[in-house]
Amino acid sequence: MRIYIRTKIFILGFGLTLVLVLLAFMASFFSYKSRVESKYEESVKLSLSLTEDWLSDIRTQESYSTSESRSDVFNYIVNTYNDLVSTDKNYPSETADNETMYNYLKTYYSDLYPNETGAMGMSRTGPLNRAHYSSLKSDMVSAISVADGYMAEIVYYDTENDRYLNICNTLFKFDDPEHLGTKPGSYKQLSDYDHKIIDTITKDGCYREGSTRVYFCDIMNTDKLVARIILYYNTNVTAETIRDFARILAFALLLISALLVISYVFFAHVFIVKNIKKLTATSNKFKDDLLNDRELEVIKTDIKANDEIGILSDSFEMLEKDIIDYIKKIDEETTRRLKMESEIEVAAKIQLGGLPNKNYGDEKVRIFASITQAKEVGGDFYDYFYIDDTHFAVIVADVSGKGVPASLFMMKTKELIKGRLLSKLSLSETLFEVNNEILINNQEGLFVTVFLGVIDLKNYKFRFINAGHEKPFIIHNDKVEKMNTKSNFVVGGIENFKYEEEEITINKDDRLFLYTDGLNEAINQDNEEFGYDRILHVLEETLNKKSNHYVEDINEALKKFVGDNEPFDDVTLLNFRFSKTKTNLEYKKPGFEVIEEVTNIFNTEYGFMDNKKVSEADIIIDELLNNFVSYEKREDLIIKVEFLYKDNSLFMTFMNNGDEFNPLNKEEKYVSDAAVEVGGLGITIIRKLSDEITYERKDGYNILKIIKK
Amino acid sequence: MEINVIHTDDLVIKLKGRLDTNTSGDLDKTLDDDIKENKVILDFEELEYISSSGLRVLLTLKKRLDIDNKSLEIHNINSVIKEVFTVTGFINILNIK
Repeated sequence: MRIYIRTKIFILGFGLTLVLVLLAFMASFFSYKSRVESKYEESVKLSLSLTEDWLSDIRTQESYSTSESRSDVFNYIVNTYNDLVSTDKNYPSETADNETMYNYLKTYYSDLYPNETGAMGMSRTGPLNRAHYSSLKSDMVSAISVADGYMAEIVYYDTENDRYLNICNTLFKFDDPEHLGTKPGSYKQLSDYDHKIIDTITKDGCYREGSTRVYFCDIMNTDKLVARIILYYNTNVTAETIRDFARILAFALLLISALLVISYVFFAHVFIVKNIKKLTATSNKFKDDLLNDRELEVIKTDIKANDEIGILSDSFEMLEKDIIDYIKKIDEETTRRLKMESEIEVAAKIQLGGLPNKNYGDEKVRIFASITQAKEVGGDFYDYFYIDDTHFAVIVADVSGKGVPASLFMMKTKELIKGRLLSKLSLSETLFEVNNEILINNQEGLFVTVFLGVIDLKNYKFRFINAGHEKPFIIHNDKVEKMNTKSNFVVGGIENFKYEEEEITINKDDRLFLYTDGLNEAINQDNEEFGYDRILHVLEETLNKKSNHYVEDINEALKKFVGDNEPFDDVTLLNFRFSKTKTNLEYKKPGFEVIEEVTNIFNTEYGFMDNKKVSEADIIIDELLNNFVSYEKREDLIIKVEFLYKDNSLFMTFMNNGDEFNPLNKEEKYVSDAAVEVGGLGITIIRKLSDEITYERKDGYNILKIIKK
Repeated sequence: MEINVIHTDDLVIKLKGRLDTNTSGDLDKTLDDDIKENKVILDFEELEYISSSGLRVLLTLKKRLDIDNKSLEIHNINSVIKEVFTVTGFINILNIK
């Protein structure tokens, strides 16, 4: 299953970023909490120091001017304070009670509480009026707003009676007297909480309880009364800030991660995926061109990258070029080879065309030859010709090497030998001169093994030279033998070699079997060689069969032996014998099968005549023998057949020992539209196909003589 | 002798070799079955020669086809066969192409 890079990056990137976000979130939350708090503390301290500055400004004022400055507060505090502590005013002493104190203060706030009357029952106007109080209050408010304080108050601390006389409270609203803040001009008894605050601040400078912070500052101090400004701060706002911060942080991180992922994908696409797609497209197009046999050219990948993908792209383009070059090379090779193969085929045909017929016969000699070429043009040849009326040459040769040079060499050698022999040179002279001649200009160093023989048709002498060639077989006196010849050196080997002739006497019925080493060196699938023993064996079998089909039988045996193997060398066979100009056959109690046997023997021995003549003779044989076998019904029937070939004429004699009967007497019968009978047609045919036909009765035989000219 | 029988619209019989005493029996056997086609064609292109035994088979075949109103044609005879047909008068009774 494919998971694309894009997807992988998306999953990885998103997951990673999410984890990072979570970690960052947690880290920042925990570090920020204290940092926020400490930062807040710092800002509180800062604003406190500002307040301190403000308070110290107040303290250092020496004049009690009424100008609008912080000195107003100071003035007020000081005046009020002084008032309260002057001995003329019945300032509470040890015996003073709350009521008195309260009433006293009321004089100051009488304007602020119009419905309340003074101790004497008179409405009073005190030194403080609404305007004064407002500005006092607003001064206080601005003092603590610097650090987000929520309440400030000015009190006189009655240490003797442990009570705060409230001078100003930023939260108190005159319209809403029941609610927040202590009522200015009143006093309250200090609670335990207040004490706790005082104790803590005295020790640490600040009271901390949860998110509450309390600070105070004493302005004036006597034994009995302390003018004090108390500032209250609530740091609850810190938590909100943190939450806000967290929210913003989370959002920001999410946004960043999204951007990161998009950019990963984008970059992956730009750097990798897009280019890979381009590569794929190029590859497909190239493959397409290749398969559809279009003209190939290097297709540029269109990738301009300076990274690994770029390297891959360059490498790919080089590969395309290599493939194109390679294909071109193969095409050229193939064309060349095909051309060469067809040339070789033509050469082979020409070569074979230059050799004489595979079958030759006349009244003197009979040749059966065959040449089976291996795949390439080879260098085997056979040749035969009359040197003169009584001398007949037979040659079998094998050129070393293959191919066109070998075949040219072969043809040249063949012509040289023939030329010399026809000029009546002896065998050794011939090979001596031919050898020297082909050594000139023989750069390839080709040589040829030759078996050269000349048969004296009158004296039945066989003269020959074996120049490096296979020793022939001879069927002599009804036995198959391998000839034992001298082994001269090859032709085309060394200059001025003297070849030695040999001579034997042969019989009229002998046969010579010449061949090349392609035969004995042929290999079967078990890597066995055909070998001389097998050749001998096949020749013996053929001899026993009396079929005379030596060349055919050897070829058949060879084919069976080799099986599916490719032949690697030419196989040339040449079978020579003196013409059987006379054939005598005798059959006792023959059946119709004699017709086929006689016909086959006739075709083998006399088949060199022209086809028409041979066929006509076949018909004559068929008709006559059919006639003999059909009509001569004797237990001891003997049929004799004789063939004689002389002066280009064929003399056939058919004899049977039946009752005297001349088939020629039988009426010639023709078939016409009316005729139904078929008998006698045979005689009609025989007559027509024979040039001469005679009958005689002699020695108890019916003798029919037929001449074909 | 090789005998090659091809059934098309006509019955085509190709002979290869010789039609003589020994082989005419084979042709006889081939013709044993009923002939369904209306025309029989004997192709002698690869036939070397024919002897009187062969002629016998041809005549029998011709007679048989005549009865059924079917036709017989001989194709591609060589000069030897032509000679035999001529000598025996078969050339006049056979349809030779």
